[in-house]
Amino acid sequence: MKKAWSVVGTIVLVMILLGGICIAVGYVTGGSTEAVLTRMEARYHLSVYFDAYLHWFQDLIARLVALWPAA
Amino acid sequence: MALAMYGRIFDDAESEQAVLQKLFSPTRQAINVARVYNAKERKLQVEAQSRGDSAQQDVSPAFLLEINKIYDDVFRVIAQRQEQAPAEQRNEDQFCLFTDQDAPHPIKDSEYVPIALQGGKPSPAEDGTSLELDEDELQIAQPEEADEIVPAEAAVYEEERAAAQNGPAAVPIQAHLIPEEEELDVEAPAEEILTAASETGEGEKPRFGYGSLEAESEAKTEPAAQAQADAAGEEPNIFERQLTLDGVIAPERQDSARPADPIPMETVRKPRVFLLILYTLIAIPVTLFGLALLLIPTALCLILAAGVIAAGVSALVAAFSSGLTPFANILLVLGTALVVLALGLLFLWLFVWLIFGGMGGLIRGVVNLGRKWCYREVSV
Repeated sequence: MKKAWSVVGTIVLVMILLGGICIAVGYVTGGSTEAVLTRMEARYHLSVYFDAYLHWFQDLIARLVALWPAA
Repeated sequence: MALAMYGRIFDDAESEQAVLQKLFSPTRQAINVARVYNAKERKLQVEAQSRGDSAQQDVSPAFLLEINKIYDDVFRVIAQRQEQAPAEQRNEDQFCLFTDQDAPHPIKDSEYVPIALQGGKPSPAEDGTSLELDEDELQIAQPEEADEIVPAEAAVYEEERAAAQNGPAAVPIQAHLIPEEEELDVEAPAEEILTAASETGEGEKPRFGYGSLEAESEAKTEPAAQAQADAAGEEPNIFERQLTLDGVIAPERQDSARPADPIPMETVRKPRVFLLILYTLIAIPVTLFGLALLLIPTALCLILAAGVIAAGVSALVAAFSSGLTPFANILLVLGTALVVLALGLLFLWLFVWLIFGGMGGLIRGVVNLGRKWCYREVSV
C-alpha cells in the first residue's frame, strides 16, 4: 500500500508540475484567461453549469442548516 | 522405577529396619514420586531427546529428582545413626582388607576395591555406573594374604577375576564395587554430596535408578559405544540412559556435535466458545457501523473523482477542439486540464484506498482480534 501511495503521489505531482509549466508558458507567450473563458462560454455554456452547481450547493447548505436542532 | 529405587535402597542399606523407619511407608513414597511424574511432559522430553535437542537433554525430570531426594534422605539418616554409634561396635570378626595404616591413604580414581572383599557396606553415593577395571587395576584388589579370605568371599573374588581374564578386556563391576573413599563420604550431607558431584560434572547423574540396569545393558549390548563415549570425554545424561534402557533409541551415543534444531511444536487452535459467541455478537454491529462511517468519505471521494476526471477530460478535449487560435491559450487550457486530471487521479486513489485499506483493514482487524482473544493454542 505504501508503494502504491508513492506511485500515485509521484504521478499526481508530475501532472501538476507539467500543468503548472504549461500554464506558465502560456502566460509567458501571451495567453489570456478572458479570451479562453469567452471562447468556452460561447461553445460549452459554462455559466449555465456553474450557476446550476452554485444553486445546488446553496440549497444543500440550507437543508443542512434546517436539519440542525439548534437552528 | 520405584521398585528399582526400593531395591537399591534396601540393597545399599546396612539395616533394613532403619530404612523402613525412615521411609515410614514405601507406598507413600511411591505416591510422592508418582505425583511429580508428568506423563505428557515426559513424553515431550523423550520426543525432544529423540530429536537431539541439547536443551532438553540437560533437564532432569522432576520424578527423578524426587527419587534422588528420597534416596539422599534415607542414607543421610542412616549415616547420622552410624556416626552416633560407637566405633567399638564394629564387628571384629568381619574381614577387612585394609589395616588402619591404610585408612588415610588417599585413593586414586582408578583404585576401586570390591566391596565383597572389603567387608564394608556399599556406598549410596555410587550410582552403579559400570566401572571397567583391567587386569592391572584388579591387582589392587588382590589380598596380600589370600589364605585369610573366607571361602565365600574368595569364591566371589575368584569369580570376578576369572571373568576379567576370560571375558572381554574389562569387567563391568556394579554398585558393590565402590571406591573406599566414597564410603567415608556417606556421612556428609546430601547437599554437599550434590555440590561435589556437580563440581566434578556428575551433577546430572542420578544416584540410582538407571545406573545399575543401564550399566548392565551397556555392558551387554554396546561396550564399544560406551568406550567411544568415554574416549571422547562425554558422559551420557539421564535421558540417554533412560532412552537406552527403554529401548527407544539405540544404545550408541547421540551425536552431540549435531546442532540443536528447534523443535517444531505442532499446535491446534481451539476456540473458546462462549467468548467467541460473545465477541461475534458485539463485533458484527460494531464492524457494520464502522463500515457505514467509512462509506461516507468513500462515496464522496468517488463522486469528486468522477466529476473532476470528467472536467479534466472535457478541458483536454476542449483545448484542441474549441478553436482557440493563439497557442498560448491552448497551453493555458492544457495546463489546467492536467492539474484537474491530477486531482481527479488523487481522488480516485483515495476512493480505492478507502475501500481496500480502510474497510478491508477494519474487517481484518476485527477478525484478527477475535482470533487472538477467542482462540487458544494447544500443543498436540
